[in-house]
Amino acid sequence: MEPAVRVEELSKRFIINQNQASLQHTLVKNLRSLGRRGGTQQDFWALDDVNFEVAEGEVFGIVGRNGAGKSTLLKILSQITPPTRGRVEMNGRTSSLLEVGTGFHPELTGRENIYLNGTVLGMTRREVKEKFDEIVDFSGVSKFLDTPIKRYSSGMKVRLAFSVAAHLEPEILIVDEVLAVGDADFQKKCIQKMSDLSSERGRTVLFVSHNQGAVRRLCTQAMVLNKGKLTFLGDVSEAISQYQELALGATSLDDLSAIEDRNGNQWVKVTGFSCLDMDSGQTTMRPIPGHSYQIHFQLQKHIPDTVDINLGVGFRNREGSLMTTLNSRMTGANISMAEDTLTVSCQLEKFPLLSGPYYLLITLRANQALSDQITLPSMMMVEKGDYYDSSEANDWGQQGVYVPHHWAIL
Amino acid sequence: MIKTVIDSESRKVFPDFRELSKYRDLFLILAYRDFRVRYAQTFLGLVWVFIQPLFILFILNFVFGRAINIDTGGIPYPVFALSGMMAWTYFSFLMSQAGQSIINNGEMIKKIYFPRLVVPLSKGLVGLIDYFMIFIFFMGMMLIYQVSPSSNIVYLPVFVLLVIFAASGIGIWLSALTIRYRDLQQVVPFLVQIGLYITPVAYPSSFVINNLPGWAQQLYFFNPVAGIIEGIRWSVFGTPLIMERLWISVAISAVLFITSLIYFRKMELVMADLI
Repeated sequence: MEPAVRVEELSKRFIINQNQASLQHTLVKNLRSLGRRGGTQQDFWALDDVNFEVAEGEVFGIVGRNGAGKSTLLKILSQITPPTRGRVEMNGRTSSLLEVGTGFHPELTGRENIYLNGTVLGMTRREVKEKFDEIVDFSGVSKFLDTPIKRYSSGMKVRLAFSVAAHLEPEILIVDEVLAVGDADFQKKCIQKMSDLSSERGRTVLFVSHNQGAVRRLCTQAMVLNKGKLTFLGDVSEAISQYQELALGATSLDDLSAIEDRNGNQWVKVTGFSCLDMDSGQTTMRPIPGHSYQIHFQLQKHIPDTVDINLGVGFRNREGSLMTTLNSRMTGANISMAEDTLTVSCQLEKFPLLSGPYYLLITLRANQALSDQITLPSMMMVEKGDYYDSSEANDWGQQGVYVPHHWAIL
Repeated sequence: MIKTVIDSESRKVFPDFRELSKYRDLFLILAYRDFRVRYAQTFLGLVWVFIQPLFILFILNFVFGRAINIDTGGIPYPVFALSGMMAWTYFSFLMSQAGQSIINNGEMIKKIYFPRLVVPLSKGLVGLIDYFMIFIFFMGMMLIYQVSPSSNIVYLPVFVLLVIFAASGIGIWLSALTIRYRDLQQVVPFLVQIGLYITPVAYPSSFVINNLPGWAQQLYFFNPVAGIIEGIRWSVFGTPLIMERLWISVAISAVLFITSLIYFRKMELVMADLI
């Protein structure tokens, strides 16, 4: 059977500064190019060779960080913007909902806006009329149908808008982050409606969301976009965890000085963090249990006095519970800081954490007063490993700490 | 089952008219929206359709009819001027309103697919409401001044159609051009002002062109409204009409309309990226 959506080698290029065309701009550009051919024009590939297929009746999730190309992909599928290269085939009546309430006019009444919005979305007046009562019921604004919608609360507008869109009855529905708006109850209603569309009526839904819960509940398949490229296609949980890694492993830790969310008196600040793999000499945020690492902290002092430093790193699991902590004072280390900058290292012979993502909270005390405290902007994604060198399964799928121990028969 | 193919290689020259006809309800509702919104919460409502042309008519009558006492060939001046103003009002409405329409509906265009041509075309429908009102007003004035129409009146619908085509052509051109060259937002109001002077609205074309050299006389009719208004007067009053001049205006209108569709189609694809 033909897939509902087939995307082949899809690419989209944006030319930066293209928007600033004006008569002056064009004239100047043409005059310049008279003298000298070519110019500096910066390309940006919002989508780069994307291929995928969506089967009929599937709820297909698209996840990725901001700027990954999700919206561009939806805009191409919705025919709002053309692709630079490639081809898309869609089998079935398609409708897209990139924003709730597009085309609503504040001066018109709820009733008039239902017709306006419905026809903008591709329905005929008769189709809107047939669905009218259902739309009004679902939205729950029946009392205010003849009030101009500028008098509506934003919640009412969203409800009305989603109701219109939900009753489009397309065979393929393309939905962007629309569930971010509206109250929790209504969001639930929307998610239910979308899941009904696919399970009861065999509609195909393409769905972009940052709401991982919604993606997990709704989607049967998912893909991950990163910097315009498709990096994963398949199982939803796997896609979400890939997306989490992307979202968290994005920022460089070498320079933390720009982070503003800090506690403490700031006499001494943590300005850099790195975790060095002792086998490869590379820095990594994906340590393997049982391997040895050296963690480096760059510190910067903003007062003239020499101070006593106490550094600690707490490892918190997904839920935010503290799993373990590394602390210079606890191990009896004395660090005294006289110069303005200092690099401190902490040696870990056997990395002790089970696989999974960990938030790192660094706490720095100077002369026993809290001087600086930050949560690292990237999570540490601990890999699975053989901590006990036993070639047995060492990882039981939950976050925690390995404790070195030995068994014997007495 | 409907199959949609989006291909970076496809290049269509003309808009997809079949698809356009599927969106005729949107076309009607957009026109209704504009009409409603324009008079929503105004005290005088629909009366505004008459007030503006009435004032212009009053001024024109005062300057050209009384002060200059222009030769209209025996036609009472208010009736004469109104016959030109009907076409010109529609034309200037589309120049300013349709020209801005794509930009003004930018939010919609960035978020939803529909044939974009619906937007400027719906302005053409809104303008027709005013056009029709002034036409009724015009007929009333003909009765008051007891001007009986000539036998050429049967051709009037042809000229009404010509006005619609020529004005739509300009409107579509401007709507697509304004996206790329925002400067037109400044230029168009200025063009509309000049247009009233270089178009035979307040005076018969002979008043201007008799003082021009031959080549410039032809050039005057490159303004499509000029020939069309002459045609309207020919059909209503039976004033003389030089066919050659009418044909220049008709040819320009046709070229404007057809090329506007081609240019619009070309721009339609990238509108969302440019807005």
